[in-house]
Amino acid sequence: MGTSFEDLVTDSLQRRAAAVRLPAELAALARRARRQHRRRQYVLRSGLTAVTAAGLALVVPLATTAGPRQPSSTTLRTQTVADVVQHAEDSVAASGATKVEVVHGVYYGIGQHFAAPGHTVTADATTTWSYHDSQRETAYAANDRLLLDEAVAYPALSRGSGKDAVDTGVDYITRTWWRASTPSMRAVLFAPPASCRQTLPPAAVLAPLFLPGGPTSGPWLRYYLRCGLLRLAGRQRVAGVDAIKIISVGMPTPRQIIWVDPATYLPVQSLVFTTTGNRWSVLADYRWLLATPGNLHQFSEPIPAGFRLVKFTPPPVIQFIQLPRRS
Amino acid sequence: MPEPANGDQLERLMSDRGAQLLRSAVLLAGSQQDGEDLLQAALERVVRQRRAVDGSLEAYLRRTLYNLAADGWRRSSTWHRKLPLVRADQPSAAPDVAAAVDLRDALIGTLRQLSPQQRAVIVLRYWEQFTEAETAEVLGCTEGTVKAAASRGLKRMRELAASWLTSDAELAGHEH
Repeated sequence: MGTSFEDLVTDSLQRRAAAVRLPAELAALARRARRQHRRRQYVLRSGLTAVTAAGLALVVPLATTAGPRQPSSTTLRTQTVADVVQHAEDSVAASGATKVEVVHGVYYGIGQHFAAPGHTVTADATTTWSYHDSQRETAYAANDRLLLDEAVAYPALSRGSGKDAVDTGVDYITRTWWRASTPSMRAVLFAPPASCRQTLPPAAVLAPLFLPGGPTSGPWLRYYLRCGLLRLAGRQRVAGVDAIKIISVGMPTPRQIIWVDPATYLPVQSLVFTTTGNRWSVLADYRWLLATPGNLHQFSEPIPAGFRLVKFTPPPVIQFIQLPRRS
Repeated sequence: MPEPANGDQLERLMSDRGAQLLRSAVLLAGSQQDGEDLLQAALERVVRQRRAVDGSLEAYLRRTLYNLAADGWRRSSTWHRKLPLVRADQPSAAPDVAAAVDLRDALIGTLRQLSPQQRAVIVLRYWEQFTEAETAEVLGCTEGTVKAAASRGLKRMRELAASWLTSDAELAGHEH
């Protein structure tokens, strides 16, 4: 059909379709739909708050859709969450020295809130690049429009020098940019609590999952492990990987899921979501790239021509705000 | 709530044609899990509206599936997880030795950046191989709308793909 590009689209769709896992019994989907329908009717009649089908889909074990890529139960039985988390920690630590971590977070019902000169920016999605003491974060609106581009160099994190971080930001809304020194406190602010009984601050529950993974993921994973808040939940194919799924247990909302690549034990994807009240979720997609010149170039953010330099020092805190539910 | 008179029909349909429907759903939704959710949502809708089915149950289920997808079936439940957009238009997505991106996977990724309607049209036209008229019938719109959505969708995918490869010739060259 048509041009080679259209042929490529067709070919791509065919290949993706061929890779779809088929449940052992497809008719079961129809039965499940009928059961779900009856359950919903019952819930409605009972006057209870219905859990949506989508919500159920999040917590239904993948075993209900077993396919050829499911691991053997033996493999899962011999693996403990402690093993997996320890491997993951080691891998993240080892990769921190050699790889560039890229985390793309998409926010639903909540937004990441950035301080900018004279106003605040609320992002629906962010991409964060981290390598050693350098970080770059780009913030996007729901329509993918670039809102803010901020790069921070944290000399104090690894060297203990006490020097301030250098923060360079480009505000695409006001067409301004700034460069300022700011105390590097982010890692401290998002350190996990010392006690398992300590209540997490609202922002901190999101910290281990999509903020730069190197300095924070390890301590947070240890915290969850120490407090018995994680368990293995089989495997699930995400982002092209037959990933180990780790879910949070025994925690109040928000809940968390982390998918780890069994080959590298590096995080592939993470999800934070609420199931009650004002619902929101944050899905983060992780990539680990070699520190090639091209990838390291990502930490040099461009200042667009015509943008005005302004004096501005952002507070060293990442915030999140609840957005009205979009319809 | 009364059960549909011929509830078994739906099970038989899924046994016979479920694979194709699930594949369509995964392409429309962007992932296995979301595809299963989408198909499940379509099935539930059919269960609820069985009395309205007139003619082929498969055609009705397919129409429901595509219309749910084209309407952004989770528009009212944005808290639900979705796969992140593949930021193919960012320089960071350029393939390198460390992150060799399979072109077809990347192209499927660009599909997620289209509007739900454009995505539905692309899947119908290039996966189901439906004509513009057939596509319009499934989606309940005009052929002109289908033509425009397909054109814009392909244009957008081409723009996104251009950040990896610069010409159709190069794209074609990666097919084998």
